Order: sequence, then structure tokens, then C-alpha cells
Amino acid sequence: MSMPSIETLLVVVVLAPLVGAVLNGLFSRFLKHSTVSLLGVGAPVVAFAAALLAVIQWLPLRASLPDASVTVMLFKWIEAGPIVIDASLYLDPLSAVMILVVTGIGSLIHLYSVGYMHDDSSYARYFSHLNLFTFSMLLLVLGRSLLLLFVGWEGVGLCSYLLIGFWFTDMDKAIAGKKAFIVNRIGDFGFLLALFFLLFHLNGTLDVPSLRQAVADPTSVFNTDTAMVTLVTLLLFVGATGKSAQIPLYVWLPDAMAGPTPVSALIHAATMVTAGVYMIARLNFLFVLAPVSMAVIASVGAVTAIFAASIGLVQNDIKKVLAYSTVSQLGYMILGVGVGAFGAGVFHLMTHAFFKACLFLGAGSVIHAMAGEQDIRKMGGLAKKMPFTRWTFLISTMAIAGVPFLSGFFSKDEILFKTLTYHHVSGVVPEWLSVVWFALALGAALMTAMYMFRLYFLTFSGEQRDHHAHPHESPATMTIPLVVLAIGAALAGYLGLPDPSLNVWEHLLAPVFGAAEESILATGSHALELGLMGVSTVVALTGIGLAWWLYRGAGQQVPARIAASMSGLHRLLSNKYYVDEIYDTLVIRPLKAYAHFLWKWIDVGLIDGIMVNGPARLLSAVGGAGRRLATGDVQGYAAALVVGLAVIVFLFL
Amino acid sequence: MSDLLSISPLLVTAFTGMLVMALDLLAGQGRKAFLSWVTVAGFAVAGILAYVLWSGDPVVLQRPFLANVMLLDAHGWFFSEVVLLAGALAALLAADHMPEQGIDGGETYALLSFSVTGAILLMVATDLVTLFLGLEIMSLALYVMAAGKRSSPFSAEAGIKYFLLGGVASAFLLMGMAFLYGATGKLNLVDIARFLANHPEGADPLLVQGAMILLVVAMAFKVAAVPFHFWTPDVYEGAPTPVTAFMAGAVKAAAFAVLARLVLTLARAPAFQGTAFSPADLLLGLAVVSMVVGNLLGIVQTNVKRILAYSSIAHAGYLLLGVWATQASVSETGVQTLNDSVPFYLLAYAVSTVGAFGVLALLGRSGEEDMSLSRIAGLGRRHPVLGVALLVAVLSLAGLPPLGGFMAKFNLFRQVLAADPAGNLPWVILAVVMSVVGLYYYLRIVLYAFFREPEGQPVVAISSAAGSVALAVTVALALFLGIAPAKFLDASRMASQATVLTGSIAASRAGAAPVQTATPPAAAGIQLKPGVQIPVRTFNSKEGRGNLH
Amino acid sequence: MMDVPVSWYLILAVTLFGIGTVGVLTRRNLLVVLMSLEIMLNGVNLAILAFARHHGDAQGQAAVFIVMAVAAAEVAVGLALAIALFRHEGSVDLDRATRMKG
Repeated sequence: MSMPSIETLLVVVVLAPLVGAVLNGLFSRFLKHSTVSLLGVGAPVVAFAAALLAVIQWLPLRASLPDASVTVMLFKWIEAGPIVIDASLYLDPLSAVMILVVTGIGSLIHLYSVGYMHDDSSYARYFSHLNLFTFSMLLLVLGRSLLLLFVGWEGVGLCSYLLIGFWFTDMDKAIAGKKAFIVNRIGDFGFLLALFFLLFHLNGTLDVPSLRQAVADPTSVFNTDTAMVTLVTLLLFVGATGKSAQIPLYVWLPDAMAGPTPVSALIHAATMVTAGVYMIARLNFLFVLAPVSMAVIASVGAVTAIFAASIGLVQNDIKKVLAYSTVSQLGYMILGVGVGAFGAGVFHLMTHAFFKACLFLGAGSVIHAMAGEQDIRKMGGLAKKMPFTRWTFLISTMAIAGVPFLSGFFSKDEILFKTLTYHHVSGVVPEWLSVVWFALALGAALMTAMYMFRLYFLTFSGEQRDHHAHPHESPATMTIPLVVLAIGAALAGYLGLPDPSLNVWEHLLAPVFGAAEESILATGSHALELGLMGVSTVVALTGIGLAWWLYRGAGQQVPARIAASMSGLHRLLSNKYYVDEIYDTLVIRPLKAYAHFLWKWIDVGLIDGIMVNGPARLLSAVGGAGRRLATGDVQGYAAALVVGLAVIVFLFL
Repeated sequence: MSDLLSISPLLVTAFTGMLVMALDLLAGQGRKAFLSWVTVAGFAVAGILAYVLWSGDPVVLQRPFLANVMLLDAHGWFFSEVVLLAGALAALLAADHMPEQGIDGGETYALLSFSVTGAILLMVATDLVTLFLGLEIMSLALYVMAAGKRSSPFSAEAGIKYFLLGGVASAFLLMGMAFLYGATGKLNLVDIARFLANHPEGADPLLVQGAMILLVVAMAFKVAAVPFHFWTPDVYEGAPTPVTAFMAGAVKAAAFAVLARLVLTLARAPAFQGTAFSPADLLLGLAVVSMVVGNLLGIVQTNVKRILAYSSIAHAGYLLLGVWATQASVSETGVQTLNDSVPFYLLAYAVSTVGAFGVLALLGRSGEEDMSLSRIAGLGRRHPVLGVALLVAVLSLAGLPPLGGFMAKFNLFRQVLAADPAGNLPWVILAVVMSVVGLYYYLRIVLYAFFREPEGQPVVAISSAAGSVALAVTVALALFLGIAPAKFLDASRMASQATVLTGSIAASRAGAAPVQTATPPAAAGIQLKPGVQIPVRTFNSKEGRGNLH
Repeated sequence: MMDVPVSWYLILAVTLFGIGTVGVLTRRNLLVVLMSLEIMLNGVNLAILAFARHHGDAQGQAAVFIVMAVAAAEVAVGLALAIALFRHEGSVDLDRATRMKG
């Protein structure tokens, strides 16, 4: 049997989850529980298998392909005068990596969900939404046109909303879903504006390869109109801050933990939230033309990284800690792409997908075992009772903390190194900024090691502090994904070793990022990179040591004392810098007041009262008069026919 | 034989009608629903045949006695598919509606098949007599179908109104044809166009202009353009709902196909040059009053079927605007700026309007005739599937994205504007404003269906598997036409390219060749644009006469 | 034999057509309206015949037969509808067929 072509396989990759979503969504009433599981898990597994086969075929071919890419034209989508937009899929090194991550980790999380959601009454709806999410995410990464990417972008947003509010009868959870959706819409608005500017002010195409070609032409508008390019890239970044939870739009992500834990793992850690990073990496050629935008992006990323990490230090809900950790790690990725280290940013995206998915699933396993308890102060001593969960959680914690030779160590170091040595050719960005970013990122790394090991120690070591629950290890459908992900978390880093000859990752992605990264003058040496590795190892171990001292060792009284003596700082941190409250006062309340004014005075009074009902009444009156002409008398109608004819003859002849 | 093959869709639909009549005799009382599927199968076969023939070359029928009466090309086949689609959907909708309303189904399906046959004949005809015959076959069957609900005085009244006014319109059409015949001595449209072009002095301009007015008025009646629209709301309201769906979807498409072909073919005749009369102005006038009156009167209606009837009138206005823009560019420059928006618009409109009437056809128990707005209150909650089908259909009619109606309207307005950006702008603005006015009554249907609680006994839906299939098809197509219209736009372009019967007017004008000279049939061709020949297959070519040169 | 000019036929044809039209518009009895409709069609037939003779073309004469056949079918339908009206209203007066309006 011959292997199906890459094109066919790509179509299968995209369609399999859609089929799963449709079947489970529409026919769940007729399906058995086991059939729902089979369909729900089968869809992403089929997609993963197809993706794997497609990539295996593509790898040896790629040197001979233009931009190492394969395009599958599905159909002509929009044709409006000069604007032609095809619905087509685009496989290149970047999307190849992404579909493997999305379908691979996605399959594991679907499998995990079989155990986790087993007793939920809306089991089929859950899988339908999760499959729909996978479909949208694949559309996002495979879309050749930015408009198709945007469809996926909106699709994942919708699924995220549906899944955060999955238990919608709980008002708080429904509100969390709405919050996520609304905050994301603000970002999407920026994205959409950017698309309009691209389409109507720059060169009239949304096709990524064509854009890339247009940018390569030094006389094109992209290289002459820097102001417009800066505006467009900043607007795109506004979209990225929404999806990838950066300051100022990160506020939805911690609340999104209201959804089922596997959803947090898949959507709010491994895949959807990385869409912003992916989009910037996808348009790397555009972003490097705007050094100012790049500086803004890097700054936002660095500040978000340390800001979220500091909040993570004092959170007590196991999922909240992981949520702030995700925001912080996304900050790292954004910092990475902001300093032109697109390969490193996407590398961290991939390693983070492994260890953060593993951590979330581990947290889910813990919550499952603790009968829904999420407060880590009430846990402890779970290490003996849940060996699989414990070891996988520990490996992932070490990976995220940057313990040497695990995946996070390599990817984080790559970003730190590139940050310190970043220098844009244009010279617009002062060099001391790189040092500031580096310092912030290093501080965030210290905090990461601290809060992650605080979480680990409080959860797993010591003795159980609350005896309501009877913890037990989770079933195999949940532990198998944990083990696989932990292996990934340990080993994924070896794809991108810090030696040019061993760095598989950079070679693979060179067709996408090579040209753009050349315009960044990297001044650092190999020796500096190795030196930095030493520094960050020390930082990571310091953080772990501090956590051990404070939560396991002699210093167990210290946190309380610190909290007492610096109560202001502690309160600031536990209340997450009061950002939600500030937004409430500065944005939401004024908006509500304004909206109320618009509603009562402008809408009801002026628009409805005068402008809408006025013409409506007028039109109704006219219509009512006209209505009287239709008397119901057929001969009257015939007379109208004849009179109409007569009028025409009179007018024209 | 092969020329019979080339009109096989016609033969299949006619045969379907006869088969249904025969089966009707065999079927027991109240067991007629299967005839609906027989009809659908017949239409499906015809549709497939039409699709196959479409991909071949255009054919001119050459059989003795039938020479030159039909041209089977992309124009005819595109609209045939629309008519067959609307007919099949109407048959499916009728399957359970008719028994519920106490209407004997058998005759309806036979009449429907004959009406479809007539419509196809009408659209492929190039001969005036054949055209008249097609129109009458289509219409006579419809008059009977409109009056098909024997227990209802409303149905009888609808039949009578439609019949009498249709009779008057037919008389006008026939008088117009007589005038054309008098002016040119020809009954074939291509011959007439060629004669008018070649003998500017030969034809009495007054006769030609009078003929044009009469033809346009008669077809304006069929497409329900103001002021020839008065029958529409009454007939739509009184006729059995599946029949109304067919009228709105199929008859409008067929009538517009003929209107466009007649006007575009004849309007460039010298008889219209330099005179007060311009066919373009006539079309524009009809378009404007149709858009305005249709939308304004739609607002004050309280019966859903009447609202949809006024919507149909308003849509006739937009469509006339499309035909006008095409036609105006023909007369001014002598070359048609290709405007492919009208066929696609008719397809999208047919799908949407059949969907909307289809939902109504599945509502209401026996004897319940009232379809006022308050009756559909709460539909969205009580019957969510019907509610969604109604929502999709109505929003598509309103022209909201991402539905087919939006794509159609957007495309039509864009092309009208492209034909003459400055000159046509006011009319496009008017059309857009009127679309906004129309939004009011479309949204009123949605408002009642989804946000109002029923007062008293709420309307009950009849369960109908066939009807559900029909609605699923309309919803799917409405979405598909809105999201991925490219294939259909291509087909629409092919149809538009074939709409004008130019014959070889330009070429023979230059050569001033007498009409009767026998050009070897092998060289026969239909010219779309000067200099571009599309080969036309001719059959029985030893007859050697009357080819399209 | 004197040759009658085509315009005379035409005037007669249009007159017949006009008489028919007025009949359709003013008579209240459906049967009379049907007859008036026939008169309109006959006017058209006369015009076509006159033109056929004028052009010396047989096609027009054939066309008239077809029109007559169609007209016969039309009458059949019309009479059936008249019966339907009579069943419901007990009369064939068109004043009765005004249930739907507006």
C-alpha cells in the first residue's frame, strides 16, 4: 500500500477533529459512552498519526521545496475585485512543529480526559468542544492566509470560552468564561485592524508567503513606510497580548482556571495561549522591520515574566500558581521573539508545552485524588500515595525551574543568551535595554524556581495536613499521559543544544527564521553562552534551595514572619497587584456609566425615540397608505397593469 | 437521437409528470407521499443530465419542425438547475404538508413536474412561439396548483387572481411578440436580433419599441415588479405553502432568465438609438419603484407569507437593477461589460426563499391557514430546528453575512457600481438604504420567532422527514453559498456569458450578408464577443437551413 | 380584388384587444371576464395573421394555431377556477374574491 500524499494527510489532520466534534456534538444522544470516548480520543489521534506521516514524508523532501513548504489549496474562498483569498493549508518547518505539538500533546490530554471527565453528565459536549478546539488550533497553525489564521484564532477563542464556562451552572465559572472572551476580543480587535491595514494600506495581500516575498523586495512599501509597518506590528502585538496573556490583557488567564483541568492544560498552557507567540514568529519578517515594535514586545514580555512570577510566589490555589507561571513563561517566549530569537521563542513554546501540560495534568490528578481540593496548604504528603503523579510532577518542576540538562534549561538559556546579546541593525534600540530585559528575565527565573518548588514541597512532601480526603493514584488513562509528557519534558531540550553543530532545531527552522535573524546582530560568543548557563544554573539552584529552606527546612517560620513584617508587600502580591480592581475602577465602571448614559439618553431617547422610531413611523405611515392601494380586487390589480403600461407608453413614446 | 438526448432534462421532467399521474391512479387515498420522492428522483435525474449537458458545447436543436427553436447552453442549464432545485425542494415540502392540509397530493406532483418542464422550455427557447408555449405550460400548471386546496376559499381566490392577471400579462406578451413579428417578419429571437441590426430602416421603430415595452411589462408581471406586483402577496398568501415556495424560487428565476435574455438581446437594436425610449430607463424605473414599494409595504404587513411576498418584490427590484446595469453598458458602448451577478443572485434567493416558505409549510395543523406573525411566536423555543432554519433563511434574504444572500447582494451591488462608478452610485445607495429598511421586517420575523411568547395556542409543527431534508438542504446551501461561493460564481459567469443571443450580429453587420444565404452549417457558431467563436454542434445538418450563423 | 392594407387589420386587431381589455377591467362576472380575455387573444391572433400575410410567411399562421390551442387550455383552467369560486361563494361574481388584500 502506498502512503497517502502529504496533501491528503494535511487535509485529514484538519478534518479529523472536525468530524469528531460534529459527531459528538450532534449525535451524542444516539452514542454510547464508550463510542463518545472512542470518537473524542480517536479524532486527535488520527490527526496526530496523519501529521506524523505527513512530516515524515516532508522531512527528506524539504530541501527541494520552495521555502521548504507544501501548500494544499482547498478552495477559492473570497474573491472581491483585486482581493483574492484562498482557503489553503501551508506546511513549513514552523507549522510542522506546531501541528505535531498540537495533535501530539492534544491526543495525550484527550486520553487523560477520558479518566478525568468520566462521570461528567456532559461528557459528549466536553469532547465535542475539545475536538472543535483542536480543529480551530490546527486551522490557526496551518492557515496559509492570515485571514484563515484569524478564523482559527477566533475559533480557539470561542472554544476556550465554551470550555472555561463548561460548568456554566456555576455563575463564577460562567463569568470567568465571559471575561476570557471579552478580554480576548479587545486583542482580536487589534489583530483585525492590523489585517485591514495590511490589506488596504500596505500591499493588499494576506497570504503569508506572498507577504514575505513583498517584504524581501527592498523597494516595496514595507521597507519605505516604517511608520505604517510599526503601527501594523504593534496592532498585531495587541492581538498577541490578548491570546498570549501579556500585560495588560493577561487578567483572563488566571480566571480561566475555572474550566476542567485538562482544558487548562491543553488550551491555557500548551497550545492556544501560544498562538500570539506563533503569530509573531510566523510574521517574523515583518516584525524585524519595526525595531520599535520589537522593543515594545520584548519589554512587555520581560515585565510580564517577572510580574506574573512574583504573584505566583504567594498563591495558594494549585491551579492559580500554575496559571501565573504560564503567564510568566509566556512572557519569556514573547521576550524571545521580541529580541529576534524567533527560533528560541518557539523552542521554549515547545518545551513549555510538555512540562506545563504535564504539570497541569499532574495538578488535575492531585485535585482528583483530593476530591476537588485545590488549596495547597491543605495538601502535603502525597508523594507516597501517588508515585506516578509525584515523579512526573517533580521532573516537570525541575524542567521549568531550569535545572540543568532538562528541557526548560536549554530553551530558557537560549532566550537569556539572545536577550543579552540582542542588537538590532537599525541601532534605534539602545543597548542598555537588553541588559535591563536580561536582568528582569533572570529575576523571573529565580522566582520561577522558588514558587514551583514551593508548590511541589507543599503538595507532595511532608505529612498530609488535612485528612478529609483519601488520596489515591489516578487510573492508567491519566497516568500514561503524565509519563509520556514527563519524558518529553526531560528530553525535548536536546533538540536545541547550545552548540551550532548539534542544534537540530535551528537547522530545521532556518528556512523560516534564518533571514530575519540575520538582521539581528548577535555579538555574543559561544563562551558567553556557556558562561550564562553557569549563571542560570546557580540562579535555579538558589531558588530551589530557598524554597527548600522556607518550606521544608529550618526556615519554615520565615514566610509567616516576612508576611507579617512586610504586610503591605504581601497583601499587594496576594491581591495580584490589585490589577482586577484597578481595571474595575478605571475601565469597567466608567464604561458601564458611559454605556448607561448611551443607553438611557442616546439610545432610548435620541436614537430609538427620534431617529429610529421617527423614520419607522414615517415609513409605516407611507406603507400603510400604499397598502390601501391593494384592495384585494383582482380587476383593480388588472387596472394597475394596464395603467402601468399606459404610463410607460406615455413616458417613453 | 442525439438531439433528443440534448433536451433530455425536459423529456425526463415531462415523463416524471406522466409517471406520477399514472402512479397516482394506483396509489390509495392518503398514500401519496411517495409520489413526492418519485418527483424528486425525476428532477434529480434531470438535474444530473442538465449538468452533464452543460459541460458540453452549446447545442441548437435541428430536428425537423423543431429547427432552431431551442438553444441549449450554459444560460438555460444554469437556470434549469435552479428551477429543478426549487421544484425538488417544493416536492419534499409538499410530502407531509399536503395530506395534513387535506390536499390530494398526486395532482400537485404531476402539475409541479409539468410546471418545471414549462419553465425549462421557456428558458431554452429561442423561438418566440416556443417561449410562449413554455411560459403557458409553466403558468397554467401553477394556476391550478395555487387553487389546489379545494377546501379553502383563499386558495381558490389565489388561483383566480393569478390566472386572470396572468392571462392579461400573457396577452400583453403575445401582442408584443406580434409587434416584433410584424416589424421583422421573424419569430426566432436570433433572426430578429440580426434583422434589427442589419436592416435599421426595415423595421418600424414604433412597432419595435411598442413590442419591447409589452414584453418587458409581461415579464415584469411574472417577476413581480412594481407596479405589476399586486397579485404577488394575495397569491403567495392563498396558495398552498409548498406551491408558494416554488413560485417564489423557481418562477422568479425562470422569468428573470427570460427577461434578461430578451432585453439584453434586443436592446442594442438601432430602433432604440436616438429615440426617447430607452429600455435601460424602463428597467431602472421598474427597479427603483420595486425596491422602494416592496420594502415599504413589507414593513406594514403582519402575515409572514405576505411579508415574504413583499420581500420577493423587493428582491425583484435589486435583480432588475442588476439587469439594468448590464443592459445600460450594452447600449452605451456596444460591448457588454460582463456582469455575472444576476444568476448567482437568483440561486441564492431561491435557496433562501424556499427555506423560509419551507419552514412555514411545516407549521400548522390541518385547516390552520393563518400565518400571522403572532402565530410563529415562540417558534425558536418550541421547535429549535425549524427556528434555526427560518433564521438562516430570513437572514440570508436580508443579506447578512456569512449567508448566500449577503454574497449575492454584495456581488450584485459591487458589479453595478463597477459598471459606472459615478453614474450608478445613487442607485446603489438607494438599494442599500432600501436593504436596511427591509431589515426591519426580516428582523421582525426573527423577533417573533425567538423573543416573543405566544399568545394563546402556539403553532404546532407537523413532523416531516422529507420536509426536514429539504430544510437541511436550504440551510446547508445558504451557508455554503455565503462561505465558499467561488464555484457557483464561476457557473454564474458561464451563464451570464451565454445570456445575450448576439448571433453574429457584429460580423454580419460588417459583411452585410443577407440572412437567408446558406452558410455551411459546419461553420455555424454563436458569437459571444466580436471575434470569438464558440463552436455549436448542429444535428441533422443535412437539413441545412436555419442555423444560427 | 382590392388589397386591404395591413394597417387596417392592425387597427382592427388593436381595437379588439382594447375591447377585451376594457371587458376584463369592468365586467364583474368571471365568465364574461374570461370571454373578454379570449377577445384580447383573438385580437393578437388577427395581428399575427395580418403580419404573416404581409410578410408572406407561413410561420406566423402556424403560430396562430398554437396560440389558439393554448387559449383553449387556458379557458379550461379558467372554467375550473370559476367552478371553484362558485363552490365557495355561491356566485361567480369577482366582488366575492376579495378576501385577501393589503
